[in-house]
Amino acid sequence: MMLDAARPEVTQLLDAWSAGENQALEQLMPLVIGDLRALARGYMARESPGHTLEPTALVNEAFVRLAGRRNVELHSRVHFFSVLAQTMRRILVDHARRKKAVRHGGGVPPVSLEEIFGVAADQKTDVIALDSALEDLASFAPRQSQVIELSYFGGLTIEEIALSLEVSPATVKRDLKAAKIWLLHELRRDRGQP
Amino acid sequence: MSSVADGVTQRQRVLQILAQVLDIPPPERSGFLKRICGGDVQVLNLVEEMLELEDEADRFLSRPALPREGPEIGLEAGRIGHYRLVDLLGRGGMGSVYRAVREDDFEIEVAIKLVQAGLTTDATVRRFESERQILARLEHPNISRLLDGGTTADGRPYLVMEYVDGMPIDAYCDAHQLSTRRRLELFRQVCSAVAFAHQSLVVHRDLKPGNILITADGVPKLLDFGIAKLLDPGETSVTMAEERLMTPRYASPEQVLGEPITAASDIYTLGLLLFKLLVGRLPSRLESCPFAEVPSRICSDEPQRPSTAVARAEEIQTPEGRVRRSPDEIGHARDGDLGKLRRRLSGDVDAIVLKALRKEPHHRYASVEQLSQDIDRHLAGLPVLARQGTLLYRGGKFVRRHRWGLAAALTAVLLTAGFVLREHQRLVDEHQRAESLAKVLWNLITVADPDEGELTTRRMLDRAHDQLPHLDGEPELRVEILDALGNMHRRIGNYAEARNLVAESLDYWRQLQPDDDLVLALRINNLGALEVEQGNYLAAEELFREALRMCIRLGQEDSREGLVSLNNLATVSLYSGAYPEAERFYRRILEIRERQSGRQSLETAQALLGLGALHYTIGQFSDAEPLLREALDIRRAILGAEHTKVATVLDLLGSVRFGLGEFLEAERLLVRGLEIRGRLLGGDHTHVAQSERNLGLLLLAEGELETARILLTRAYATWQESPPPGHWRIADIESVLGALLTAEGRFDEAEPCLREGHQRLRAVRGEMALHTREASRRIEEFQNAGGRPIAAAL
Repeated sequence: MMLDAARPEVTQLLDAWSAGENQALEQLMPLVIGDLRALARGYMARESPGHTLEPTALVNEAFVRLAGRRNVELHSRVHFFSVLAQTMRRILVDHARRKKAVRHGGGVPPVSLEEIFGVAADQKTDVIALDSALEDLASFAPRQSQVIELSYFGGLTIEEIALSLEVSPATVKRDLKAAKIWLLHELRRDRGQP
Repeated sequence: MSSVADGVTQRQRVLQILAQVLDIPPPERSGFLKRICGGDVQVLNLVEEMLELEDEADRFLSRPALPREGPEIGLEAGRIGHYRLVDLLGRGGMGSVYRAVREDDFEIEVAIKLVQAGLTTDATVRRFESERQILARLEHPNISRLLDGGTTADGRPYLVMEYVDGMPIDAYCDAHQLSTRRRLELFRQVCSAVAFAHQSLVVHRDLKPGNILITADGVPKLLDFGIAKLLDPGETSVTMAEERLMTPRYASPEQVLGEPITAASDIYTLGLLLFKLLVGRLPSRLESCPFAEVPSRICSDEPQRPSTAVARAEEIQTPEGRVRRSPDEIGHARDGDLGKLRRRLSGDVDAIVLKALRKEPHHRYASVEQLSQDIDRHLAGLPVLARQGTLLYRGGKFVRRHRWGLAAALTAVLLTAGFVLREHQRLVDEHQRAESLAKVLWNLITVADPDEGELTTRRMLDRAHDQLPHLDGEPELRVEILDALGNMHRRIGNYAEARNLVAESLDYWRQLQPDDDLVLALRINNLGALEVEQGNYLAAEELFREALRMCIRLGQEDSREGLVSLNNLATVSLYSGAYPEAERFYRRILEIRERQSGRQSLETAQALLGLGALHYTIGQFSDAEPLLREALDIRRAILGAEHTKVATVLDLLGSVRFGLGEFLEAERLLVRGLEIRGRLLGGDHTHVAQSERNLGLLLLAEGELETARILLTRAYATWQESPPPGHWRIADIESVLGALLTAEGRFDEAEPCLREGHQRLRAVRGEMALHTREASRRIEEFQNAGGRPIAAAL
């Protein structure tokens, strides 16, 4: 595979799609589905044990949601990823809520489990708590909150985030570090540990 | 201002101050904070509290929830350092690998490994750099060199390595249809590279076929030496968890347990690799097992011997998807055919692979060099270290008592290992002869049928039988062919079919030759023996009696045929529990033999042995002892001390002494018997298995469970791999293993062994046979020891 950093056709299709060309989405799908699938697979492998979204289901869900927000203008691949980051964030949080609801005795259990993704990670991030802490952070520091969203949910690199938010990489680095400390502190405080 | 707004502005302020203070070197932070916070103690305290989380925050959310794939925008126009990226070679859990060229010299091709996540702390960057220096010094013709490295603008480390254009070692071996010898030679070169790295204190940690490439010139090159450790941040277990996720198939038990990884881990992985190269797959079928069970499977599944494993068809994963490869195909692609391949692997190679694959690191080879040397010894036809292992290293008191005798026995086994020995070879040959004879018959008497699929021996024999009516004009030929077919069926373990054919042949013979005749007597005995194999003792007894009567009528009781009949009668009486009868027949044989050949003759010794065996079987040990002692003396005097026939008596006499409670003497005799058999017959012979079984039984009674286990499992494996398949001896040893497991308190595992062993013995040997009764006694002992009741025993 030759490296081509931009993959212009993706950007063009995104433009076309956000300009209202429905067929563009269909052409877009096969181009980005690999990315999405890889994202989803990677996600599954490292999220908390017993996570119960199938990668394919996750990908499809992401697209439904993307398609439902068609009026969003997607400027670029980077922009696409930031939309994806938001979408992923919502999917994961919803999923965590549904799972919790099932545990407390209600509703249908979330999508089937792929055995291989069941175990893997030791690192456990409480997505629901993180989500509300992020929302809280957004209320007084929207950029820092967004940096976390793009980095954690979107998987963007520092430079990509800088591009996306039109700030310098140094700023992104600083924001990221401070926001992480802040969030960690908040999550600790919620659980009653200083 | 409302309190909410107050809160917001205060939080904004804290975050702002936090961001600023993080840019300041730690020693100056405290002064800066005091200055900027003025008198606001609350803000100061909060910021200080948060700063304590700094290190932890570095690891928090450090990897995206969804790691990215796809070209990275961060790389400016596909450049890293002085290299221009040309091609993406692959992606792993930790990052991507690119093929690249030097900007100032496009001729120089390199592979660049770019790590996904950035190094976050100075300490990890420093460690990365120092490890990189060590690896850069690793120069060996079979190791891909680390040339350069650094970090990208966004702090992600990268490594520049010698680019190797090659094929993964397993694919290479298969593509070139390398013989087992060539595979072992290639593997030795891999070992030499790993040994070299170990001497420089570098452990590979991630050996797998994909990291061992063979160049077009056939030279192995190892990639990624020590890279796994280099890229492991150390303090987080996340990387390791991912590693486990990525390549569990080649992980060692200590690796999945999260224990320290040492050179011994590489030895284990080399063992897996060797297994894969020789057998065509890995010992455990981890693909089909739930992921959650992989670690425990790696820690508990005992690997099969390669020579056994290679005989099972396997679904294997290839780049084209899952394909089924039959053992014959595997054999064909290596050493000509499956039988040859199995013989090539059994013994030395089995032992070498299993020693490398021991679960406990200290039981493996002490070094890669040792492993490599053992392969060398094997290739040179010398005894290998691995086969001395089991008994000498693991035994308890027993081994210390018999150290020298056993060492001699083992050395003998080692010296004769590598080629299958006489008796066993004879059986194999006969089996093969039976098959080729059947093929000849097949060609002679059938018309080729193009729709016929694979020609199995079984099918050929059936078709040959169908053609027999054509031979109506030649009754004698018909009898001969029926007999031949019967014997072939017997060789492949189809006793029922064999019995029917021999019975049919006998009927024809009787029509041709209705009068008393010694040949007829022998044919009747032949059929009787097949009835015994089937457990039809009554039918057998009747036939033997008929044959004996015939011989007596002819005035030929003491002829060979008469003695065969007597001996068969004695045996079947013994099997069916008619002991007084059996004793009468044995005494009669002894009488005739002594009269014919004198007391000091092999014939008399044989008769004494039969009578002694009878007493032993009934449990009259003190009656058996003098008979066997005399048989032993005669045989020793005539044959010398080193003879398999001497060993046979030693084995039985040892068991008698065991029955008399004279454990030490029993042990001495049994070990001596094992020693002789091992030396003269080779390790895989069923007679050796018989000695091992008896000695194992004794050691079990003495509480030397570990050594007993080794002997019994060896005996079990030998029987399982010897023709005919499904021999009742297997069931017998299963039952004995059940007793061993009972003694170890492993009731759950003991129960099926005892139950199934007993069931099969009862079905094959009959309720009253010695071995069946012993098996049922073991079940009682199991119940007394606290195991559950077993239905089959009731």
